[in-house]
Amino acid sequence: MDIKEELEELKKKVSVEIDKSSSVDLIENIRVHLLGKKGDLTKILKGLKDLDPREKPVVGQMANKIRTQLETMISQKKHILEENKLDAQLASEKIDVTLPGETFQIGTKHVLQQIQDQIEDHFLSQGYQVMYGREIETDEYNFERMNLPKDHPARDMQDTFYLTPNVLLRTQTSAMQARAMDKHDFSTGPLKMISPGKVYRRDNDDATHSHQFHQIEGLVVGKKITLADLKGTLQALTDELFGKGHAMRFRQSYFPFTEPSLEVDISWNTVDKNTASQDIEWIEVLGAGMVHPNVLKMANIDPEEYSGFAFGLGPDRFAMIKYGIDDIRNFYLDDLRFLKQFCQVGE
Amino acid sequence: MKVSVNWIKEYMPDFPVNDQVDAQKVADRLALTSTEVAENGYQIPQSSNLVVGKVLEIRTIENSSHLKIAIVNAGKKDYQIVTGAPNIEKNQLVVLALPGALLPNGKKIEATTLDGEISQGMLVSLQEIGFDDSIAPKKHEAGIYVFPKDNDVKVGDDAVKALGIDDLMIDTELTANRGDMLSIRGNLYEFSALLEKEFKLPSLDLQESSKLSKSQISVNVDPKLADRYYLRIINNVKVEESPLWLQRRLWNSGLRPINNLVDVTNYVMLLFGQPMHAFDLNKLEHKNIRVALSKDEKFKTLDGKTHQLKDGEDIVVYDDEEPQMLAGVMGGTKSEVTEKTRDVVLESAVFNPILVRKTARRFNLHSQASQRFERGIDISNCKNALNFAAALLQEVAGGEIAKGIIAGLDDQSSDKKIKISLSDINNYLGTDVKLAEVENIWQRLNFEYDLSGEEFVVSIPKRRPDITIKADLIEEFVRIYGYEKVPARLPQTVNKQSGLTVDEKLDRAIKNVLLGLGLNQAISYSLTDTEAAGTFTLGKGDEVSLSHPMSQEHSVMRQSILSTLLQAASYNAVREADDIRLFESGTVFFKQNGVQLPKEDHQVAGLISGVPNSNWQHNQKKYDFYYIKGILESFLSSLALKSIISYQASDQHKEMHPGRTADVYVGDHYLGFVGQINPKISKKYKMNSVFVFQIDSDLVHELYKMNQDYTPLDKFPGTERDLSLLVDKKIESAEIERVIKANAGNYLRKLQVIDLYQGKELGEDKKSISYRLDFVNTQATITDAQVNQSIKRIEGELTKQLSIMVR
Repeated sequence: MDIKEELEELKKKVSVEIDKSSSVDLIENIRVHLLGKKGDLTKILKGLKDLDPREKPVVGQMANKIRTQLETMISQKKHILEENKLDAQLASEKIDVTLPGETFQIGTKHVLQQIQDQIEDHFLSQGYQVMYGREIETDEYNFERMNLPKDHPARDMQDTFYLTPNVLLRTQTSAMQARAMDKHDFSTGPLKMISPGKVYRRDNDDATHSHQFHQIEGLVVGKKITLADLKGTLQALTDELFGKGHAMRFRQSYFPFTEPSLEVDISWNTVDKNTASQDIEWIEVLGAGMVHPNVLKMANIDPEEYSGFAFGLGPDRFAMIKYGIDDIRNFYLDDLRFLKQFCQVGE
Repeated sequence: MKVSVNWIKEYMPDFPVNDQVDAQKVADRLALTSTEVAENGYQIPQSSNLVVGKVLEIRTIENSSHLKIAIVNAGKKDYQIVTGAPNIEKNQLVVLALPGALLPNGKKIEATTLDGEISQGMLVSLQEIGFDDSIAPKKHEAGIYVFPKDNDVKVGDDAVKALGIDDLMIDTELTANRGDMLSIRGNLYEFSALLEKEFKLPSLDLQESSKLSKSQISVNVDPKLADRYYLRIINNVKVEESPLWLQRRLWNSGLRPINNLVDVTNYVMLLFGQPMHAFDLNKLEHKNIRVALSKDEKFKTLDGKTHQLKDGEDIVVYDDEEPQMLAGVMGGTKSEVTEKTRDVVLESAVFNPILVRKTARRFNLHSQASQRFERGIDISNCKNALNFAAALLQEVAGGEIAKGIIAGLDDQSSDKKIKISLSDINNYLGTDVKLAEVENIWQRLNFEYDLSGEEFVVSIPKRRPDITIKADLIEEFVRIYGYEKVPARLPQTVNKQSGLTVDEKLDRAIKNVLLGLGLNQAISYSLTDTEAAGTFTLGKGDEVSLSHPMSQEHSVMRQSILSTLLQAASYNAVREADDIRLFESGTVFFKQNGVQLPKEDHQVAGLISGVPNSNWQHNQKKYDFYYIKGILESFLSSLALKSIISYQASDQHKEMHPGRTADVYVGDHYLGFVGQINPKISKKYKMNSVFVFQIDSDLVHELYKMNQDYTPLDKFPGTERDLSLLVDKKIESAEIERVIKANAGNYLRKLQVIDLYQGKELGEDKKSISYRLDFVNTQATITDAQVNQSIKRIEGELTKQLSIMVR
């Protein structure tokens, strides 16, 4: 056999071996036997020196080609075998992915805070400012400036915790109205504010009464502010809180600090033009009205030139309606089983 | 007020209510335009098989101690009824419940045998057919109901109709401004405006006798105490049971018929909204009526209670110097009318509403009369109501009306006039209503007006004292016009740049970071008990307490968030919560001497207790001091405060564990504390180990760094070295860190504790503590020589200053 034949023979033999090899170790073995210092190909190539100088380059080229081919075959096969080995290992590493993960606890924002934040954001986007007021107020700001002089029968509606004859726990966030009007510079434009916070009433705590609850007051005072503006503002608010498609209606009411005074109902169900009136389930959500001229006058604002609207809503009541919460005390007992139900994301 | 549909129909024949569905429609309308309606329906349940019967004959039953047989005719048929009624008499008209009748108490009437005698039904009392004890006439208390002599019923009539209890009631819940709707008359005006129906108010002719009123009594009224005061005298009345028609009106309206005299005063009050009082003339010894302020004296009211009056507080009607009535609230026993009264003084007055309200509250005597006086009465109808009452009394009780009305006060001022233009209305409401629409509504409201151009001058009738200014009149217009017709739009204002202020953003950030650190937001009661209120305080100050708390539990304003947050945690602990993580951001209150309003400070507190977040991969480790400190450290570092935060051991908080509490400082400012609650305290709250922090959030706002600093990133690699030190147990890490930092040179970038070990082999009073030091040179790669030099210096100083051995 001449060298060419030997090379062809080797190529044939090794190709079969590579094909048959079934592990990374075997293929490595083939490589060493073929290409190592004492390898078969090396041995054959050693015979090159005895060849005719004319034949040398031809055979040399051929030998290099076969060497390259076999090397490629080996590395390809090795890659496949390595992949297979890894696959087998991965298959053996299977774990129970249904076991619980290592969780990181995230606290839950209080449901009243969620509603407050949502309402704040809604009004901030419309150019309102948020003003936080005092919880302990004077009789003057809580009542008298709200057109509720001492001995006004409507004071019965709000039984009050007094500290002294003239200092009390505010019964309504309306107490912030007069403070806001006193502070505002009307030459810079209208006053538009909301004021959220805790309020207090002399009530025995039960499922529907609480001596402490929350309110959010809204107040707009400017030139040419109308009842229609109030209606649009509240419709936008209820759309934000309950979603679109809920009807809203005004009912005549009485608050000493607004004239006209209104209770605002929204429909619990979504309604359209075809909904029959008896199928609308109304729920009372807030109180509102046009700012009483006396309230403006007491803030040194001329009611002939300026007008305004105000509204007050209870986040507690909102949450009770929205989630069907049956006991107002839940908001203040801080039972974790209660708190953790109200995930704030996605609301 | 319970408004009787039949009574309304008496004066407004077209009132469109014939059944409960109609009544609901009217109620819904009222609720939108006028006032809330509590409910509507029948005052008394509508039972069937109740008929008017006449007792023809009464027979005793042998061997029966109290039962008798009554033969009762019910029109077509006679029935044999066995009854125990002690008040039964021959010829009485009674209510017979026939077999098949189902009484409101659930009793079903059937033919039965009692003491061996057949009974074909039952004779009943008003209570048995559903009358409340408070409205059933007392006359028949001991037995069955007997129709009065003066009646309009026939034997065999349906008794429900005969008693008039088939009358629908619309029960309005009036707001404080609508005192006018506390009368049938006021409701007629209201319904007329809403439904556009005509009505005619009743009137009676007054026939006076020749006997003069003036010669029988004199009057003197302090004009500060009343706007109107009239008296009339009716001589020789016969006080007895009222006619049935009058009784029906009263019991349907929720009032108990008493006798014709009292009933007339109540009837006129319901009809006109004018409270009325009757005195027995012959019991007024001095015949000298005076309306004046009270003196220090005792007074016994009609309900039998004696009240101590004080000088100058209440309006009192005196006979000379003897008190006869707490004006507008309740009469006294002294001149009370009884069955024996012959000569009556009827009083119709309008007392000062504020004083009446105070009196009613002071003595907790809220009567039908005081309720009306407080809300305002139509002063223009005061005299008319008295004349009507006198005429009606004469009609039902006979007697002669003495000549002349006695007026203590009789000021006839004209109606208030309010100027209002069409544009006033449209500018206020955002509407585009037309002149004719406005005119139509003034007409519906029965308000007289003059119109010139587009300007009205509207006369406000005295029955509506709530309308005093233009805005009131606009409200009257729009409620009748319909709120649903007012357009909806957003205010057309130029919006200024708005958004949360820096402080508001920081407040939200504080909450969000704590939420992210796994604490749940709590909101607890600000009012707490005296024992808890002053605990865990950050500053000193006197407590703010209620003058009249409702309960001890909620009597004082909290002075720390932890005082109430601990109560919340305890609430969870007793409900077997095993992982309690809470925070609250809120207000605390301190009295300020010499300042009217207390100080309102803001604090944030966090609390953890129990076992964190158990997982199958590792054993549960209980919360400890370092867990809460870690939360606080992460929290504070996220806020970027202006100065360095430091922690100093403190045993000065009496509610905290003396060895596991640190005061927290930002620079030199005291921010708050962190640590374990003293187990003596937590045990009281039924908890074991409770770890808390509480900081002054006003100070956080003050020290908040608005502008962040930037440091260029390191360009050269750094080197880290670990130092293991054997130290005396008493030496705090902060002390060692201070020495390390002071001697590390300029290249120390970071210093952290990586290990702490305490074991017997180290010795009882020793601990091993390891630190990792990161060195970086911002100008070039740091060399070993530079680091070694620093380490050598640190080690030297640690040994020298703190006798620390480097291991």
